Amino acid sequence: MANSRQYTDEELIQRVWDVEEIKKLIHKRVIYITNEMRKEELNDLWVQDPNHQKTASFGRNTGYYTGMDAIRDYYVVHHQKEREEQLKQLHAANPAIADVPQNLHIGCLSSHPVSTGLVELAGDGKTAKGLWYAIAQETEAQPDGTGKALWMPEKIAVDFVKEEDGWKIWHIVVSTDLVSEAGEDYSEQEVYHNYETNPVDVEFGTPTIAKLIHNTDFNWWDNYPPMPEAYETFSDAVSYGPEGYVRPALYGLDSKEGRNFR
Amino acid sequence: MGKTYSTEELVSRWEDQRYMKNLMGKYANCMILNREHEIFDRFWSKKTENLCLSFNDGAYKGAEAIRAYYEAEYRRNDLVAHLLQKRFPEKLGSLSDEELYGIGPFKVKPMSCPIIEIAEDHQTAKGLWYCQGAYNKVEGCGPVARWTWGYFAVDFTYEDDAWKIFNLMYVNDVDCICGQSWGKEEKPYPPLPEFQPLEEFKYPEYSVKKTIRPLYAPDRVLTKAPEIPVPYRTFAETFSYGIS
Amino acid sequence: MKSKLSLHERIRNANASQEVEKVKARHTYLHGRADATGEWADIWSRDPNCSWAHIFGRMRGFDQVWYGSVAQYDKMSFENAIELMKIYPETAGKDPRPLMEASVHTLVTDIIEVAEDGMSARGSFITPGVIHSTLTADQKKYCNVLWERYGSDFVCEDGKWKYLHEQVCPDILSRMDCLNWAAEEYARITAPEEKEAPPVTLGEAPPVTDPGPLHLPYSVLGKPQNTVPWPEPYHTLDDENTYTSFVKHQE
Repeated sequence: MANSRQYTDEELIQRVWDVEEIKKLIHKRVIYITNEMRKEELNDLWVQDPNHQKTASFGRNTGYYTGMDAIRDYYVVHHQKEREEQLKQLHAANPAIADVPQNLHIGCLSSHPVSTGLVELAGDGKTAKGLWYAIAQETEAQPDGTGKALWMPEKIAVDFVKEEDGWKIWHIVVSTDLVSEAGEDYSEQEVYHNYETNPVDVEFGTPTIAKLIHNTDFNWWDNYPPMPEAYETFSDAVSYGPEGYVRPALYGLDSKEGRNFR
Repeated sequence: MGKTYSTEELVSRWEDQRYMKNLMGKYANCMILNREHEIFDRFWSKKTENLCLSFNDGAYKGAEAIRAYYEAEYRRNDLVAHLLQKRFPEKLGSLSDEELYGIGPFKVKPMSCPIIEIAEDHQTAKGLWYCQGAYNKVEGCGPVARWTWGYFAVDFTYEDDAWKIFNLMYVNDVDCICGQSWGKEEKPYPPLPEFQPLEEFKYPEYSVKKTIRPLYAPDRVLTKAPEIPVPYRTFAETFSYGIS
Repeated sequence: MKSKLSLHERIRNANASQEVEKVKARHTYLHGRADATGEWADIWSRDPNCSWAHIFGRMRGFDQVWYGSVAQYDKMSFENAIELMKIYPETAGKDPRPLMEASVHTLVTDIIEVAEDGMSARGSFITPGVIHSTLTADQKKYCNVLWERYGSDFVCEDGKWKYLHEQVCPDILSRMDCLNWAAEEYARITAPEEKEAPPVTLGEAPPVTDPGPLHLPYSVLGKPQNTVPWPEPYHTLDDENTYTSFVKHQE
């Protein structure tokens, strides 16, 4: 239901500030990512209330991790292990790069600067939904001494909930449109999305709920994650968590289907 | 968040934030329009001592040095336009100096992800922006477009009923040729004789010459972004984006 | 900062500033799905003074804007879909519009002013955009960068904020992956036989009231243009404060 309430001046400026605080929160996340502060991100910017933690989710095109334990395992622990392995490989190729903690993340640069913020605060002021777009890039050092620099433009959809100490991230969907190596001809990539080799999908692994929620082969046809609309109070139906996912009613065929008629 | 603000204070502080976002937007527009020489008078504090403008490899300290930097940008823009006029006499030969100025360079430095904190005493504020930029300054090898990924980190002071800059740090992680990978060794374009005077062009010496932020390289250790502003009471109780 | 507005009016304008940011962002996400109907049916004013301008000129009045921005745009996407179905039959039956491309004009560097009278707002934006598509008629996917600037006027109608004027100023169009927009232009203009600059819009230019060019993309031999100067604080939307001059209607 759309939010059609009338607010007093005091209520309205508080709502304006709430929106600013939410934007600031997601802007801080941009810096936390660059700083490789994933653990701190979950502690500082994500939900802390145990009930919210149980229902928190982190989605990508191939599904959702649900619950903070699973999110932490994927987003922090697995990432840390990957970076430790990467450092071992760099050290093996070039002993001048010592395999010591201060060299963790050497040659890595992740920038996901968000833009185009669209924030809808619930009529009851307890939750909010936001959508952003980032022309993101991630770069990682390779054993041959170069960095592999990848463009990865993406939508970032977020549900927020107001806890005792302020606004927190509750559900997030990072929907990557494409991955293209800087300096390489993107049009030479195979046309259809390859879930076995796409670095975002490989890194995401097998989530708690593994299902295709956005098929990039059809551009933005499936409209997921959608724009937030004005709403009165939070419900599963409006959630960016798995319970809010709606497959288009008349989906038709999937990629590569229906081609054997000749 | 420590202090609780009245409704009127909340409105004022929202207006202050909007003003600072607008100010940085205007700063970016001045760069697009090659009007760097207007930036100091428009946006910098006239009442604060120890102003600081810093880049990856050094800082200008004090009004005179900062003004000289922006004036150097003007002179360089002017030089580029004259070199292009010489190279394309049929297209640009008839233009006066005024008509010619601005032709050539194109510097887009969009500001996103603002994180702004206004001091409780309302005398200062701090802002951090991400900047995903693109530019063509025209170099000794001619027009070459470059991507930049970096940050604008700014300290503002409140003077004469307006917010003004007193420290500005513009530092990049990436400054690479468009069409190439910032993870690999740059393949420079060959020098062009018609643009050789640009190789000899010199900006004023930095007041402080040191590496403030190394650019990305595959062997760069994790280099954190400029510090995120946090709520604070007075400027003396927080950090500065100035360089000492 | 001093303001001559009442506290109530200042709060109204703070809220208005956020509302127009939302309208602008809705444009981006709707356009990303080539959902021109969603855009012009929902977030645009139907005022006879509404206008949409690009390099090719300015459409004035809602009907002309609708024809150029919706009817003609949809035609392009439908024609593309027909070609796609021959190569990729699985696209049949899907909304043809988003299959054309995702044209994502991100919004940053916003400079927003709300009129003292609270009835309008003005904004300028830099839009570093990406335009990408996967299934294409030539069976090659692509991702271009299109960096533009916007000048936008908004009006409040029955408590809802709507677009009134939009002026789009493309500056840079290139491929994201492996081209250099400045070096390539220099190579083009110094070639023994200079070729024409590539187009920065899809398809045919629509019918316009004010013919273009209204803005020139960045060129090594041109000045960066100030087609949509940033808005200054203002009292009311008028010919001094607008991205499209108002037409005086004959009585």
